[in-house]
Amino acid sequence: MSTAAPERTAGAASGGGGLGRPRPPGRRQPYGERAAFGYLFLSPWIAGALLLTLGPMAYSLYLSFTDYDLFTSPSWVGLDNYVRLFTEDDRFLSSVWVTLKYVLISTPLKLAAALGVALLLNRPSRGQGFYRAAFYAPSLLGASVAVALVWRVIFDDGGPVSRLTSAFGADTGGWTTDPQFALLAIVLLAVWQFGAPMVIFLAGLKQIPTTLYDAAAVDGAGWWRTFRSVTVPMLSPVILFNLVLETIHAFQAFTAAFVVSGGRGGPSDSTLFYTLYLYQRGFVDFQMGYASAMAWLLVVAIAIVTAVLFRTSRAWVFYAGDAR
Amino acid sequence: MSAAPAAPAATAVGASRAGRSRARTRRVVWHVTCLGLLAVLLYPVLWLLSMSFKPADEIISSLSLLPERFIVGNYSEAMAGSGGVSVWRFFSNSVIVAGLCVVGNVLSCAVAAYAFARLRFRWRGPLFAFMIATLMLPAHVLLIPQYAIFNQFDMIDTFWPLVLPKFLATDAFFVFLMVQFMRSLPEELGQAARIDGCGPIRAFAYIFLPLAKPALVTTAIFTFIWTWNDFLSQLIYLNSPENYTLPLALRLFIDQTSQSSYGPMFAMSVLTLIPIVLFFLAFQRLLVEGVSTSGMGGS
Amino acid sequence: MMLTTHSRGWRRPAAVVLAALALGVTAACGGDDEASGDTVTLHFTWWGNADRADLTEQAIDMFEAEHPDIRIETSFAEFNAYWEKMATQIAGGSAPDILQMDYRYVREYAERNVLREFNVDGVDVDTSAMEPGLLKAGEIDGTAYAIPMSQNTQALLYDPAAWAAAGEQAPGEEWSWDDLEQGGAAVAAAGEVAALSDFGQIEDWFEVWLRQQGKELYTEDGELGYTTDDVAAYWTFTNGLREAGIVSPAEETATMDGSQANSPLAKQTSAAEFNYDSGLTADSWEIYGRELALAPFPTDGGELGQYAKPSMLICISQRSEHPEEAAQFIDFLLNDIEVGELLGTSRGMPANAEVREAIGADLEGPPLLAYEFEQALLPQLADAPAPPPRGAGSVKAAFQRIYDDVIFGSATPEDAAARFIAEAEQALAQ
Repeated sequence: MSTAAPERTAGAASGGGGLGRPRPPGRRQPYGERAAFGYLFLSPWIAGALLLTLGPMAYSLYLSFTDYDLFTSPSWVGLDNYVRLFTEDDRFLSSVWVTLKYVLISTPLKLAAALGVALLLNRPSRGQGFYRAAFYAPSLLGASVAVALVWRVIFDDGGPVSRLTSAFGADTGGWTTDPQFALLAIVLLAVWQFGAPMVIFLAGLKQIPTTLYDAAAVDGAGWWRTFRSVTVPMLSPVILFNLVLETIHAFQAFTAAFVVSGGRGGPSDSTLFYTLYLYQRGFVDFQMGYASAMAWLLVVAIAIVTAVLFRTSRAWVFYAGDAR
Repeated sequence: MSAAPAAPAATAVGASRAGRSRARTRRVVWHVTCLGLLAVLLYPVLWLLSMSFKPADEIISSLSLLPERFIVGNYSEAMAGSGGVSVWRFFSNSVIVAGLCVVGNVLSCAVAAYAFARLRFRWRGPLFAFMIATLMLPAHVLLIPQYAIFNQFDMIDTFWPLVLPKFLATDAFFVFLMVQFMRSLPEELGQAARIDGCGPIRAFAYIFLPLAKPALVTTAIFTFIWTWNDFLSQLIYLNSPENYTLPLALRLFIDQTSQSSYGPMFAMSVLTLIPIVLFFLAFQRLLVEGVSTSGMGGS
Repeated sequence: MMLTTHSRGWRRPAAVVLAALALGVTAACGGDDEASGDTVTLHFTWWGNADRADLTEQAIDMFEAEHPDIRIETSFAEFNAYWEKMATQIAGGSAPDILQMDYRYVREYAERNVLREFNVDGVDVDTSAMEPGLLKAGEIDGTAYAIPMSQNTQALLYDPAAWAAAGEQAPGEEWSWDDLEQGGAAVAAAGEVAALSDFGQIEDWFEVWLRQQGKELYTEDGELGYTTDDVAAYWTFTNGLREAGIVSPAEETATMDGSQANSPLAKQTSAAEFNYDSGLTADSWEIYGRELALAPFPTDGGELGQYAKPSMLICISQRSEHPEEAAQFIDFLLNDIEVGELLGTSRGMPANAEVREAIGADLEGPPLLAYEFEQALLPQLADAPAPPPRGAGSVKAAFQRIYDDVIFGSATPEDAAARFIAEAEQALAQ
């Protein structure tokens, strides 16, 4: 499944691969001898793909059509696993729902936080290094058992968060333990660790030539106009990157839910993420064929979402390195 | 849609006294905003620190930030090591693995990204799509076939299964990251290089690699931190205690079937943070020196 | 143009990294001298914490001193991680020779040809000092695939100070489920905490309750040994206790996962909790923040329903090339008094009765309490049931998950029980 979905065949003379906007035809010779350099530079990646990635991916696709208990040979069952997923597995559907909610809430919040702080920090000033490190600090922690315990205490009934909310007259009780709020507590954990997209935004902001801002200043553009007509277009490849990657990561969210709920996805399956359920099926119930079918459904779902993002990106992503 | 830069002009800077005091007010507002946000963000980190000074029963049952009984014994217990292997060994193993992964990722991903971003060849689109697709499959279903491959190569219980993939650019995240950065470098760079008679290799080494520095530094930082915190692959591939890394050692404090050492676990978590904080501080400096300082763009 | 951007700042850290790596590669590659000659190398994996690791390494040193031709290499992880790693290793083609085993996985692994039979072809381990009833936990159709390393039994762990309020109905030798309810009500009324942690979600305690009525979790054919009505009755009882404020509230129950961090008793929001007596370790009082006591389960008839259960077992892999040496090592680990004294209770109460008595004299604190409790109760303990069937792990998880719906009020005990039975049967059929 091609995610970049090229409109033309890759071999066409215009050479517009799946990488996005087409090039004006005839400006350069097509591949010629330079093509060899492409494969030369790509050779480590190709070796890695052939050796380590392609085989296991194909194998897991095969397993998705089998009954495989890890220890004895897989036996072919055709589409059985896929049929069972949709017809007799309520927990599968509820894990889809939990994951969709998580993707839709956490991704925009996290990206907004990351971009906001990146813009805030993108000005020469004393103590900038300190601030950058301090804002990144939560992301250094990862999702460890220690973080999970801290999270539980902070969101516990009578803990800081519930004291705060009850000061505003809303008695929420403990968040991680309430089916209504448990997912939100994990969303907040993800948003709290916005350091990675923030650093990527910062690096992108650094790459924008200052002359563009000078020019905007000469034109008398205000903050918002400069942001809209200089920052956003110049940053758009990085925005696309963060959007695609954070969306994929959100679909695959596992570790946070695993440590916060002790691997169970509770209470009442309210934090049963898709990959957590997949893990339970594969490694706790020894149904790796079923888990592989789940994995490939996830791939299809992510591929569709990614393809849509790439497709829309042609309208809003600007590559300085491509033909003007 | 591009904001075409106008001809360079002297930026008029009004140096009046009013302007200067306005700048100062803005600076103060900026610092206050930053510190205010940080107070909220670092509050859980404060908890983590305070937990490492609490005795076990307080960690479990107390809801107050400050320890009632302040103890430092957690740290000495954390430093005791396990299974006859010292904590320093875990530290140095983690440093080696993370360091090798950094080098591998920076080199291999930059090379692959250059090909995707700046060179044109048949199948580029489909290969790129495949690379993105490798991001989509959950790690848990790849675990067993990949283990079988490394087992064939007789690499179990060595650092190879952790490090080799990084030298083969299997981390699509970073390839994609660098592709996005290299594609946004101005088209004129490639042309100028070609006019000067640079082949793709020299153009890569002397133009694109240096200019992609923010992306390279970002890759280095993330690779280090993520490898440092990574648990699953290190768990699967390392057997002997003397090859264990910090994330593995950290998990040994909490075993639901034996005595759990919550205090030392928190102490160890704090100690584990120190190297990555230092690494981040050392490398984030390089993020500042982007290409922005030099006069490029404007044709 | 400006090709000067790769400034000095970039090179210094890079040099540091490279230097560190050069050191690292030499460290990582050196020292891997494969033992040659007639030396047999065995891989032994187990789960546990750092303390257990230290003692296990010492025990191995003792064994290697006695058997210079055998080398033991260890690998260990925490419980959950251990199982994911074990499954990956075996599926990926490299099983360890000797593996620590959990009761609930014995059949799962044995029926898939991962484990080797004991006591055939010279793979002998002396089990004469262990209770025959305990050994059954490692046997499938009379064949031993796993040997118990340690034993424990079900118990009520309670705070005697808080339960003093219950007066007559305090936990003790002969107390009934009614006593539990009435005493619990008194405790809950007297203090600000729940009298007990909710026990409706743990299949293990449901099992004791069933056995008191002459039923079993699983029949000999590996089918469910109880009906929807049994589950509904049990959940109606525990849910009633919750509504009366006797057991912990739903939010707390939902997070219980067997870890002390999520135990209401350790969080000091409840005054008693069903547990295995092996849950008591040297620093238990520090973790629970007070001294606790042990009592057997309440019972209405004469039947206690409890049994001696292996808290962990040990197995030899089917693919091991040196099963006889592996058996030698296991025999040493389980039966040597000196090693037993070294290991103490680091793996729980030893399964070997002689070793257990040898170490009993030196115990103190919580482990001594557990030891005395278990020794006194031993005559009343029944034989362990055969290892649970494949899919039992999923059934246990479903039991806990579906009970969540009862306590959060989204299902009646009857509806939840019916749904549970349906899921359990589905899990066992696969």
